[in-house]
Amino acid sequence: MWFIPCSMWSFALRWRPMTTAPQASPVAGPTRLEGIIDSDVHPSFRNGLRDLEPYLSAEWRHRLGVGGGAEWTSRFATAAYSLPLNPLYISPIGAYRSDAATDEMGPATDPVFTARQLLDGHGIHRAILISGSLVGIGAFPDPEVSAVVASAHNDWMCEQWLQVDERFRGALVVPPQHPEAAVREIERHANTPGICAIFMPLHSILMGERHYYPIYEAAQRHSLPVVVHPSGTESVFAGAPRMAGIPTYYMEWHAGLGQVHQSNLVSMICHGVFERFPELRLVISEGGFFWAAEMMWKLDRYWQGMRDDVPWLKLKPSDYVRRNVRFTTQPLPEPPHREQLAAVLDLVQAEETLIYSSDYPHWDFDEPNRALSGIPPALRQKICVDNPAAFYGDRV
Amino acid sequence: MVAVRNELPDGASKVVTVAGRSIGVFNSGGRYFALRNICPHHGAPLCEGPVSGQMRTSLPHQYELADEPDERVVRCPWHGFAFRLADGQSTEDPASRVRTFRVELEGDEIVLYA
Repeated sequence: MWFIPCSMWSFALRWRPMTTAPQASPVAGPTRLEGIIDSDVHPSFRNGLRDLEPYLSAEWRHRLGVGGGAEWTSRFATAAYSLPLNPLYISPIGAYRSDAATDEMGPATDPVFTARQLLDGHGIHRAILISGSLVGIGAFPDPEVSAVVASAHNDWMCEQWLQVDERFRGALVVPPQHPEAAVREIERHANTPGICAIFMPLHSILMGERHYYPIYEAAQRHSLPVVVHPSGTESVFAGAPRMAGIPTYYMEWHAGLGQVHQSNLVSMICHGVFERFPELRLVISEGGFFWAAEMMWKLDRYWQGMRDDVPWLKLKPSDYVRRNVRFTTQPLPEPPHREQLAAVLDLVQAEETLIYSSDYPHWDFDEPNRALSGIPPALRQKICVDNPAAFYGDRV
Repeated sequence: MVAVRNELPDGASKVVTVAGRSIGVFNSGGRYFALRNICPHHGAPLCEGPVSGQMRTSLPHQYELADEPDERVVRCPWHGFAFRLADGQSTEDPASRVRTFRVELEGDEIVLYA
């Protein structure tokens, strides 16, 4: 991660070193795995909402101010809608892999380049696309705008990405503040080839609440895992998920993002979401996972004494995590001693709960063979191949 | 004999020491129960904790109280872990159980067999 809104690419690109040739030969390293599934790859628009022009009705082009005007109009709130992303925390090292862009091409805006650099370059078999441009739509004040943008994006993704390379899989974006429209969108695209999950951008309402149940019901019915991911809008917009306060620095903001995911996971467990929807699957992407060990143990312990609070939990809270939840690996912390990583992987029951992700094309990209080197090959196989294959099922 | 009947009315409990063992004796709705006074979790004096009903396993967002005499639990005063008076079983952890003892009302006397 992140985040520089599309409209700011030109700014971001000016001060980063550029390379032009995609990496075509695989990176050498430890024993290479076959069939790696990358659960967090971010395709982005070239020109913000203007990319969606062919996928919007005349009414919505008019309403959103998309098309017809100059390119710069999308940068001014009074002239056109812009996508809620976070322009307030600026990474001093840039938000993207500097070799993923050129002066003419923003990072992960070209599916052919992306396939060559990420899939060919790192020996990745499947890439699950999580929109890099729509992560913040939970902050749109108008639920209809969120729904229309999500829907147009999904058509764009299917046409511009999924049809370009058969190794891409798509996470269908749904508007979190508009469950009814989200369900319509799931019904519309549930059987579209290449769709393997639902990406629900985060919103200010915690995920255990009834507000989301229609979305969970549809996700369960269609056997599509729900993916969540940092929104890039935390604590910046009122409709965005909240952090404990307003961080000052990019590093401070980024390092603290896990708190949002912790709150959401605990909320879902305590509300009994996984009792109500026992086959609902949740992927917590880029939310960290070291914290899951303490959270599981703490909840199990509290459950013993305080079960009258939530008597609908038939299983120990940690059992729901193992059954219904997966965490993506990136950004994989790098402890000073490699064996400490192995210890934490053991504590979080990584052989069941972890799935590999790269976060391409962001600056904190994790190389699949390097990042997990040093852990037992059988465990690496589970994290990179077997766990995601089992969790996403046939669609991947 | 640990008490006479009117010393231990419905809802009351009493901790006694028998052969060096601390045991709690309870009257729950006119039925008598006795448990070892040690919580298996951290060794707290379990039987000094409150006795109450407990929520049944239910559907999400619904509550149903199980409060018949033989459904009541004693809650550890330290961490709130619950053990059924009737059989000493932890209501959350199948592997955790507190020893129980036979206790009878014989005439006007409450008699503990420990």
